[in-house]
Amino acid sequence: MDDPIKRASGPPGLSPWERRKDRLARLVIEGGALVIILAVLLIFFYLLKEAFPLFREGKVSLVAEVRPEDANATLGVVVMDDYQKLALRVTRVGLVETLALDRNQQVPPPFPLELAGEVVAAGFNPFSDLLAAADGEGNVALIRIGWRSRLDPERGRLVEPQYERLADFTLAVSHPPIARLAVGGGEEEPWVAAVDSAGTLYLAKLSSGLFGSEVVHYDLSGEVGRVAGPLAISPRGDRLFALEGSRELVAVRLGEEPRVESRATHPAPVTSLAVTVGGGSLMVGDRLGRLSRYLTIRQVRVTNGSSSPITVHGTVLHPGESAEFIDQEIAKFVKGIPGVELSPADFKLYRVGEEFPHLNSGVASIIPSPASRLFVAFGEGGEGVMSHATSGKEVARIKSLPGPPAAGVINGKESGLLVMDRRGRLILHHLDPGHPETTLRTLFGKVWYEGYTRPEWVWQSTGGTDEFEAKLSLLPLIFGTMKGALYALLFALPVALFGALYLSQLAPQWLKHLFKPLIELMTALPTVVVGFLAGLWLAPLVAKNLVGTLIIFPLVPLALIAFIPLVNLIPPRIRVRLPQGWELLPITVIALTAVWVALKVGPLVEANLFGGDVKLWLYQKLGMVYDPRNALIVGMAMGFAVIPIIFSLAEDALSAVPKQLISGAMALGATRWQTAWRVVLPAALPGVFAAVMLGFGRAVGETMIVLMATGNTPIIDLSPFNGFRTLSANIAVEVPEAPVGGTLYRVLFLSGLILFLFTFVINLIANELASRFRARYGRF
Amino acid sequence: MGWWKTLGSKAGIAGKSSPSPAGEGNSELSLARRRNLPAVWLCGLFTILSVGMVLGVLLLIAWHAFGYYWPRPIMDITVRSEDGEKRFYGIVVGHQTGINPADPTKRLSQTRLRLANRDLVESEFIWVEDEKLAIKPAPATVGVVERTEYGDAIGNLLELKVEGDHPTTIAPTDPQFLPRLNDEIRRVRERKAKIRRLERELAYLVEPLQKLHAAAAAIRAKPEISDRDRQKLTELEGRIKELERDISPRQREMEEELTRLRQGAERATLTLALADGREVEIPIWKVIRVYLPNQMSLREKVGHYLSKLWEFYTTEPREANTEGGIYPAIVGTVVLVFLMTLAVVPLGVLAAIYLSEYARPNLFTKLLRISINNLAGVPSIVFGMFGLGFFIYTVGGLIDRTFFADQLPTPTFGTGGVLWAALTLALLTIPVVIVAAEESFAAIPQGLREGALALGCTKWQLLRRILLPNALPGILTGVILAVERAAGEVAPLMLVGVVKLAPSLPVDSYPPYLHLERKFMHLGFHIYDVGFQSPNVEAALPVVYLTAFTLIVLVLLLNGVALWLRNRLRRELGGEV
Repeated sequence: MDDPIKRASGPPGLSPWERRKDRLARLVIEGGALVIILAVLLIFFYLLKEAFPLFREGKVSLVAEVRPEDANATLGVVVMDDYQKLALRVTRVGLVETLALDRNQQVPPPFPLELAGEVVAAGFNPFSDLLAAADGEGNVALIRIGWRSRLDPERGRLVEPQYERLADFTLAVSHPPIARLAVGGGEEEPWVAAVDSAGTLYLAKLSSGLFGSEVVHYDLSGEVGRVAGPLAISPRGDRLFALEGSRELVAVRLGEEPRVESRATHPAPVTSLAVTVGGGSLMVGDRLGRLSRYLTIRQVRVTNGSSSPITVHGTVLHPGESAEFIDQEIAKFVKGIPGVELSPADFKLYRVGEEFPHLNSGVASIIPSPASRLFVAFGEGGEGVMSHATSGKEVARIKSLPGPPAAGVINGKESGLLVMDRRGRLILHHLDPGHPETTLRTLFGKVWYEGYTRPEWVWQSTGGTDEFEAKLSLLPLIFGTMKGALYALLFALPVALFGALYLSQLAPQWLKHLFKPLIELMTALPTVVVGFLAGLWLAPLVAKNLVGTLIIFPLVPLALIAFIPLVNLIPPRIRVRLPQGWELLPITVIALTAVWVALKVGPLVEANLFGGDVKLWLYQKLGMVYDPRNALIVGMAMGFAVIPIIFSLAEDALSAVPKQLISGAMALGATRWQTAWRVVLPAALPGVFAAVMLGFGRAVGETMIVLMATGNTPIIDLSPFNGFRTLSANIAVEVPEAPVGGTLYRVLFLSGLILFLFTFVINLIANELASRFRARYGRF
Repeated sequence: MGWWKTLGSKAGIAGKSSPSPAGEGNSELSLARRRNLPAVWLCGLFTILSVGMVLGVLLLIAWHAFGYYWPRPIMDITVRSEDGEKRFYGIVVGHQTGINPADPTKRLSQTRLRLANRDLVESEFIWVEDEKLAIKPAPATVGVVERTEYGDAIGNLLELKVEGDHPTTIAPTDPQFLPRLNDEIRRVRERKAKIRRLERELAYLVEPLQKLHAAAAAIRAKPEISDRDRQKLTELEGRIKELERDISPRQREMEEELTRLRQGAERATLTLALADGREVEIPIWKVIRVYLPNQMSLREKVGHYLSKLWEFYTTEPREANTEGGIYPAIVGTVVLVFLMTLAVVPLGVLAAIYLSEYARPNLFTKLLRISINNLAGVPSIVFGMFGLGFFIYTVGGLIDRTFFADQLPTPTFGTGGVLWAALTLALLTIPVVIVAAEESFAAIPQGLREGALALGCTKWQLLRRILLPNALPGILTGVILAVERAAGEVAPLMLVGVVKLAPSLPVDSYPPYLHLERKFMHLGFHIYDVGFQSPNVEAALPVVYLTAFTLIVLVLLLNGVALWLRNRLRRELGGEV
């Protein structure tokens, strides 16, 4: 429509000043309207902008190349400080030499390893900064490398290497020289592993006691065969991984008595091994250019002590037999089968993931980051890829090397990658890993984390140790959001819809005018008050009389229905005279009596049917844990908050159904209820549906009630007696703690974006339905 | 086409499923009525349930909130256990009977006691089985001593010792005892107020100096110091010296005055005897008030109750917010809502004017409608995130880099504060204002517009002279509803600057009087914080209930005013709005 009033801009002959004012007003008003649209767009794009970098690729760029004069004298070890200022290399003549990567640095004199002969092998562990080097006779020097940095007013940051000589000892090697050397372990007990030219494995541990340190040697030649490939010792010094033959991976448990713990056969010849930070994952590269991840997982031994065969996870166990499984949940599975015994068993090396980017040629080396599960792998052809052990994300490709590297190291800040090629050249790259631990799969799919016995959806953003890996799966939160909304609607829908039907169709007008504002008053009630009552008043109350509370739900309607035959006893004479809505009085009395009875009967039922403690009974019989702040409580509290929204809009819709429809139905002989249920409700259905959608949207976004009335545990469990964590509560809990720009921060913004889009769609649908309804029956 | 249309017409108009065709007998009709009865009654039940819940919640909170400050008689309690008997002075706060979980055939009845004396007994609240309990009224000289630390102390008042120029000891039998005690307490209160005022002035005096020091320290802690940093550091050091020279005489003077006030403070002590015979000396310096509920008359009780209530609304919280008042939270809420109103009204009214007076059915209008609906539907916590990321880190960071660069990296506007919280809430409440304002513009009779235009008004003149004055009550309704919504909203505030304990109010008597960058306390957040984050939730419950009650009364009052205004508007304009 083109309203002439809306077009008017004053009569001709108006003063130009008035005309200008008029135009200005129009501009300002239109501007104000534009600001609203822009604000919504701004919110959307801001959330998107904060969340988007999660999926961005990382960057690797070439920074510098250093070519030492005697490049050929370098052994396959290279070390770098956190600020990418200095590099260390081990030379064949037995020196640890410093090379400057930055022109301002002072280069200290080389550190002598003090080995008798020419150095033939060396190993460096980036997690504990231990360096081991061996000469041809089997003499080994063990050194810890540290860095000291200071700020110089003239030259900026200056870095200086620090050396601590831990031990010198001799490995009695039967077929010298030593071919490979690995070092690892924490502060207290460093381990050194060596392989001689015949492939025999030697182990030595440095124990520091009260009277100085001593070196203990171990012989594993009986257990481990010919070791051909690379070695890796976990950062904590609890495991050694070695390659036996070309495909057999061996995990050796280090400790008082080192022993072979587990073996696994890789499908292709293995060319490279690396342990990630914390020692949880072993990255394996093979000749086909594939990368795989192995985890060491604790097993459970199931022994069939019964007299009949049982089947566990598809394995048939005959009486007396036993088998080992990695799934800890097996306890639940076999519980209750008589005679079956469970006992802890060894860890097993288990191949869990191969969703890694491929290399075009065999994997030559894997360089782990000392700070996270990020790593860089290079192929024989010199091409490299940066990836992450848990997510398997292809963070970046590296194409700057002509050939495979001999060694490499990533600094502790993950900002630099130093690679040494086979001719001793040092090549420094700048790293920008972005958010390597996040992919769509880690956010929404199951992920097999270290220490877990199977892939799972886990939200656990902070942990105690440096090695902790944040587990940011949004699924438990989305599940919690849906669970909360579901329980809320379960409670709110019948109450709000039938209440609205009653007030709009069955109750007298005066009652409607009294009750409707009262119920709408609930929207004004701050949700923080509702949440506080739910958490501090309702939750303990329900916990104290759970059975009684649960009895209320069926008992009240049953009591009502049981009472109805009595109504027919009222003489028709009197019944006709009763005012419309009279039933509310007896309903109130019956309902209150029923509630009272339920609460009194509850403890009796609990004592006689559930052995006096229903929570214990739930746990023992059904395996359900009772959390006092649970879905039941949230359902009631959030339902309470949602009822007025659904009620008010649904009542509006029901009341907007034209009177002609109702009169027509009544004239045809339908009762009031028949009219309400079969005529009014179907006609108002779109409006009612819109009301439900809006209520649902509100329940999805509600924060304070969930925050206060649940334990906020991010678990996936439909049980009404368990807590959950919703997206919104999670944001409220975690955002204040999340470092700005970090992965957690961005994932939280992503969850905010999900909430935004979700409620946007719900609102769009609801408003579309409502406007169509309005278009049909006029305004309501 | 909507599927529901066919559904509706099938059921309603064509009457295919309409069950009672004409000609059905009377008896069958009554049968149908009877069959419908359960459904009708169930609907009635749900209606009663909704209404009952609203009233129940209001009554529940009022009940808990009102009871607490009423002085209850102190009892002399003896608890028997295997280890012997224990005597306490305490207050009976609850009673329950239930089935004994250990022996279902027996009933268990327990009494809840409040023993106070948090620092002297094992736990402040205890449940005791009735059979192990003997209760009799405590002597009239047993009183409650409210302390600044460890909550209340309950005990028999023994004596008041006053040191100083004329040391005296007064026993409770002396008629001068209570007046003298109250006199000493008043003296302490005045002295504390003086100290607090002085401290605040001192803090205000040295604040610029502290900021300079912080900025210098921040530069020194940098990993890399550039030439510019060095230059800035020398400049800062110069300014620090200059400032120190300027303020140090006044500062020394104030510090001396403070020491003097603090030293002469502890001159009186009150001695209490606990029920078990222990004697406790409490310095009056730590006493807030003393009252003897066992000898109070009704009038005194009412007076005590009112003065406690007054104290609750006018003093600052103590003991991790579990005691004392909520004054800073009230001020914080009011300032927040006031700032929000300033932001939300112009924008909301402009959009409403556009929608009702300028909008044509085009894409822009449709987008605007979708935006408003969407703003109304987006969860409040998302606004909080946006406020944190955009207002605080982006805009606030920019302001800091531009105007407060010398204080970086200590943020001024780059951290949560009352301004950002107000803007965040303004975004949240815009739809409320728009809907109400648009409604009131729509309610203005079309004839007024036509008449004005016919007389040669411009649209602006029409707006200013006719429409805006007429729509004012409706706009006001919208603003009140927005204020009500903002006062009750907590989740977004948690991200944009609300704190559990703000050291200073966002408005005070020091220039620039309104401190937009300050963090603030808020009634709603106070409920969450005290109820869920405090170490002693049980002792804090009264504060939570009273705060909740205050918030509800505030919100319902606003709601009532808005509804009343809206109804009056509807009646006056006569049209169906």
